[in-house]
Amino acid sequence: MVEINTIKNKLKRDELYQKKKASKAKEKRDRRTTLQKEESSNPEKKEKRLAENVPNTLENTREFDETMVEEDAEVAADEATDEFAQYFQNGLTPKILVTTSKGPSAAVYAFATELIDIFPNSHFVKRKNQFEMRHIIEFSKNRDFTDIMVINEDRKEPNGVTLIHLPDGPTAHFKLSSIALSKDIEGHGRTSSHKPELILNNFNTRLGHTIGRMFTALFPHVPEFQGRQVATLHNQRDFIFFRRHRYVFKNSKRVNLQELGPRFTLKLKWLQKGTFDRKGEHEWMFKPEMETSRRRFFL
Amino acid sequence: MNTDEVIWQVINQQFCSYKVKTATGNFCRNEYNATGLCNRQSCPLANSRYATVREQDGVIYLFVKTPERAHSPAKMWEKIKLSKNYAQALEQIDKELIYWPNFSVHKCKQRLTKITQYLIKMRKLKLKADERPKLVGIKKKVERREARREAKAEAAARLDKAIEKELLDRLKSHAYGDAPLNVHEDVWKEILDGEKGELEVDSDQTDEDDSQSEAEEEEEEEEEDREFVSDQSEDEEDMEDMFEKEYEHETLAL
Repeated sequence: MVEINTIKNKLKRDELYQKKKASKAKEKRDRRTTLQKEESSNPEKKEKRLAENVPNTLENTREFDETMVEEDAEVAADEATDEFAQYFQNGLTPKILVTTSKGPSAAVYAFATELIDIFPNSHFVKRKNQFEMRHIIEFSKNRDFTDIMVINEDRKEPNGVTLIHLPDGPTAHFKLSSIALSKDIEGHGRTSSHKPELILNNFNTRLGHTIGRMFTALFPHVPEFQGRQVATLHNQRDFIFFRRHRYVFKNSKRVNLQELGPRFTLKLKWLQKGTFDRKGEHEWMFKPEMETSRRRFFL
Repeated sequence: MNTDEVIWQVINQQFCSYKVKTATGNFCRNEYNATGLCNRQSCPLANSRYATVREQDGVIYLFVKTPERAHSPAKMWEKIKLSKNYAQALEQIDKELIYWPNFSVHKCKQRLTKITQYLIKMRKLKLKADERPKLVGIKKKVERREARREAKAEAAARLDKAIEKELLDRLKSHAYGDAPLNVHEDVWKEILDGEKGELEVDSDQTDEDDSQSEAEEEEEEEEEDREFVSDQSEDEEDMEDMFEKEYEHETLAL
């Protein structure tokens, strides 16, 4: 067989190349159909093949992180006495204040309305120009709020959320992206006032634990299961995806989900120990120089 | 002193790199110029005796140039630090520039006034900076990279599957209690039955290992009992082997 790349005639070369390609594709197809036939009658073979050929993903080749938490008694002890102890130990019901940065635009108000819907026992307050953050924090503490959410905007679109846990709770600032309001979601369902269930996925490091607990403290303790509503905060590669669904168990193997409410993505930018203080020090701050490796994640 | 005229004629009529010509008038970009305009009186190059007021890092200085030092450009300007007190600074200017033409003194004082005013303004603004929103630059490359990574993370997350799996796990682990409100009766029954089935299988396996192996062996024995034999007669050796094997199996069964 002559080497294809030595044939000078373009037409002929092309023809031979196409033939070679076709034969390769056929070979692959045949191999796969035989494999499929064998495996349909012998599922063990399939399992064996899958077990041998596990692909490398960013998740399973993640850089070793010493702050990963796995059933640590020390961590559990720490968490028993942290700022969220009031919520976890004493069953304090969350009361959330949602507000915006100064001079908000319509998109921000729309997003704020959605946020009020997500969290039961939340209130929206219009931001007045004369009040700075420290005033707002003081007022909320006086009125027994447990959390403040401040929606930040840029160029008429919400682009960030600052979550302040009261009193003296941690402050976390997230970058907001990919916001889809319920009216923009195809086939969305109607929310009801039932307390939602909560799913938190992949908050594995110490930092992740703090953030996870922060989110848990926003929702009421006891969900109303008959409402069949579930709110999910799923962390994947430091991006926290928020979704809300109504679910129904079709059988013991399948669940049908209907998406409700808004959809957005959060990325943690910094975390401060106390309440918001512009000049205070940050417990954790994201800097682009930290992302030295594609396999390094912080949450 | 007599060179000043020459310098001015050259600068004004030919070329001066500090001169800026606009529709409104001529300006001088030289840092030591007291007025900022391009005039015979205001030009620091064309006047060997000259004075200005300038600030560096919030401290105000009086710069004085005399013809005695005109030969050493490095040491030409005498830098005198003025008092932080405005009134005292004015007196200082009067004292240092005593016997100087009124024009210079006046312009220096005007500059001092303006500089102190803008420094005060700057300090006030800095105090209010906390109240003002902090502006953070948008780094295009970082934004682009993060958007791409977000899209990939979303694809990798397979959210629907993750949520479904989590809900099913919760249901199967009885996290919803024994009579959950969020499941249909039939589905719940199905799950409970599935669990019972597993339990039975487990208990069977653990209790009677022997009987199972016995069963297996019984089957084997049965198979051994039923054999397909050919019509042709076999050698005596083979027959003997066959009989031996059968004998062995029988002993095991016992």
